Amino acid sequence: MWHMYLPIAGNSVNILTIFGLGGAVGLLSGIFGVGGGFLMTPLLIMFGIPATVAAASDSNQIVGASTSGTLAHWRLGNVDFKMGWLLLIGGVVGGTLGVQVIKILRAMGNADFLITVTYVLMLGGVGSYMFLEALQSLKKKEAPAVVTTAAPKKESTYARLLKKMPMQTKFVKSGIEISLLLPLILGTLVGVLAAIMGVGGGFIMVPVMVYLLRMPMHVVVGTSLFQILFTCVNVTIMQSWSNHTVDFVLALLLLLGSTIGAQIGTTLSKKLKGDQLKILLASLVLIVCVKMMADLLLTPDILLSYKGGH
Amino acid sequence: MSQKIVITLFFLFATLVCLPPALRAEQPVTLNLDPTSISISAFYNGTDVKVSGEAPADAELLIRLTGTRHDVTLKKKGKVGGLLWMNIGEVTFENVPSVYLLYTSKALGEMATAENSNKWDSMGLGFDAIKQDMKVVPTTNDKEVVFKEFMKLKKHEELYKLNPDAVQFANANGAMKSYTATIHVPPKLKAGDYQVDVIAVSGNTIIEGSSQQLTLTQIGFPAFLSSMAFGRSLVYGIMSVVIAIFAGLGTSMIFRSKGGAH
Repeated sequence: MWHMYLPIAGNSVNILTIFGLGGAVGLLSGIFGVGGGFLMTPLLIMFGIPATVAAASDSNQIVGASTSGTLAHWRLGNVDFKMGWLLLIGGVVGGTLGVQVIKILRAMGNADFLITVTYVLMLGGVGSYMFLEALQSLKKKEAPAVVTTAAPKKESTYARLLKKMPMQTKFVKSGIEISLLLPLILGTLVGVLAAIMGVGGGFIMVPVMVYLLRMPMHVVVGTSLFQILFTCVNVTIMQSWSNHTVDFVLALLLLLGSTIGAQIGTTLSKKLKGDQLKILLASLVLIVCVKMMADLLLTPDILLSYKGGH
Repeated sequence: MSQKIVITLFFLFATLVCLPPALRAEQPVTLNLDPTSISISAFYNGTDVKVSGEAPADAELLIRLTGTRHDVTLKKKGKVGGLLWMNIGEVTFENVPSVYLLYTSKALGEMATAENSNKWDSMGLGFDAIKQDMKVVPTTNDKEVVFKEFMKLKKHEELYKLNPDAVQFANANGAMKSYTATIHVPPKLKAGDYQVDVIAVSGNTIIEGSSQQLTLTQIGFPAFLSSMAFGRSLVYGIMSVVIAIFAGLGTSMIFRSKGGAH
C-alpha cells in the first residue's frame, strides 16, 4: 500500500520517498528562490521515471511549491511584483527566442557540446563569484544586521551606465531606481539561456537579480519564486498539451511535500542574512557544477539513454 | 447434389473433431496462467503471475514472457575531444521485444547443446536470439558493442531478465510431471498484451508448448488520468496547474493560521 502507480510515467513509486523528495526540494525553493529542477529531475530518473515525464511533472510540482513560497515571502514583504512582471515578460520573449536559437545551433552541429560546456563554465563562474563576494562582504561587516546587500562602494562603469538608461523607474520593494528596460532586457537574456540549456532558469535569474539589478537578496528570493510560478504554469500546460508528459499523480505526491517544504524554507530564509544565503546558494551551484563535470569526465555505466533528458 | 455437400460437410466436421487430440499428442506441454489479466489500479506495484502445467517427465522447461517487437531510438554517449562524455548521436534498435523475461528450470547453457542448436536458434531462445533478430541503424555502429549497452539498459530497467532455476517440478508419474513457476511482473510493464510461452527441452529435442496471452489494463484512477492526459490534454494540463496552485494556497493558509497561533 505504500506504493502508488504513476499512469503516465508507467511505473510505481514509494509514496514516502517521493513525499520526502518533494519536501527537501521545496525547502530549497523557499530558502533560495530556485525551482530545484536541477536536483529533482535526475533523482526522479534514478527512481525509474522517464526523463521527459520527470521534467514535465516536476514543473507541475513547482507550480504548487512556488505558490506556497511566493505567498509566504509576500507576507514578509519580499516580493517585488513590478520587477517580477517585467522580468517575466522578458522571460517569455527570451524563451521564445531561445527555442529558435537552439534550432539554429542544432543545425550547425556540435550544439550539445557547446551548450554543456557553456553551462558548466557559467555555473562555475557564477558560483565562485557569488561565493567569494559574499564571503568578503561577511568578513567586512562583522555585525551587518541589515537585510540588504552592501551598496556599491564606488560608482562603477556599470552603475554609471545604468543611470544613463532611459525610463528610470522606482522599484519600491527592492529599494532601487533603474530603467524599466533593464529588467526586460535581462529577463529576455535569462529566458534565452534557460531555453537553450533546458533548465528553469532560477539558477541564472537569482545571481542576475542580485548583481546586475542590485536587488536585496531576500527580495530576490521572493520575486524569483513569483516569476518561477508563472514560467512553470506555462511549461506544465504546454507539456501536457503537446507531449502528454505530465504525470499528475507524481506531481501531486511531490507537491504535498514541496508546499510544506517551501513554507519551512521561507522561515529558515528569514533567519539567515543575505550574505549567508548567497554563500549557501553559491555552494549549491558549485556542487551542481562539480557533479556535472564528473558526469562529463567519468565513463558512464551505460552508454545509451532514453531521449528527453538534459 | 445437396447430399454430396452434406457428406462433404460431415467428413470435414469429423476431421475437425479428430484434430485436437492429434495436435495435443505433438504438444504435450500445457500452460495455465493465474491470473491471465492484471488490473493496474491506483496502488499497483507490479504483481506475481503463477504459471503451471504439465510437461514430459524428462524435460527441462523455459517459460518466456515477451512483449510486442518494436523499434527503440536511444541517445548514444561517446567521448568528445578525447575527454568529455556527451551524447554524440542516436542509435535505433529495430525489431526488439519491449520485454523479455525468461524463467528456466536449469541454466540456459546447460540446456543448449550442439545437437539442438539449430532449432534453438530458429526458435529464438535466450538473449542471443534478440541480437540475431534485431537491426541496428545506422549500420556504422559496432553491433556487438551497442547491443551490450542495450542489454545493460534493459536489464537495469528489469525488462530483460534471465531467471535460472525458477521452475519447480512435482508429481512425476509415468511420462508426465507437473510444473510451477512464478513470473514477477515488474511495475514498469505498461498496459497492453503480452505473450507467455512454455518450451520443453528434453535431451536434443525442443518442443514448442502452448502459449497464453497476459493482458495488463489500467483501471480506476490511473485509467481516468491516462484517458484525460491523452484525450483531453489541454483540460488535463490546466486542471493539474489549478490543483497545484490550490495545494500551494492551502498549505500556505494552514501555515499562516499556525503562525498566528504562536
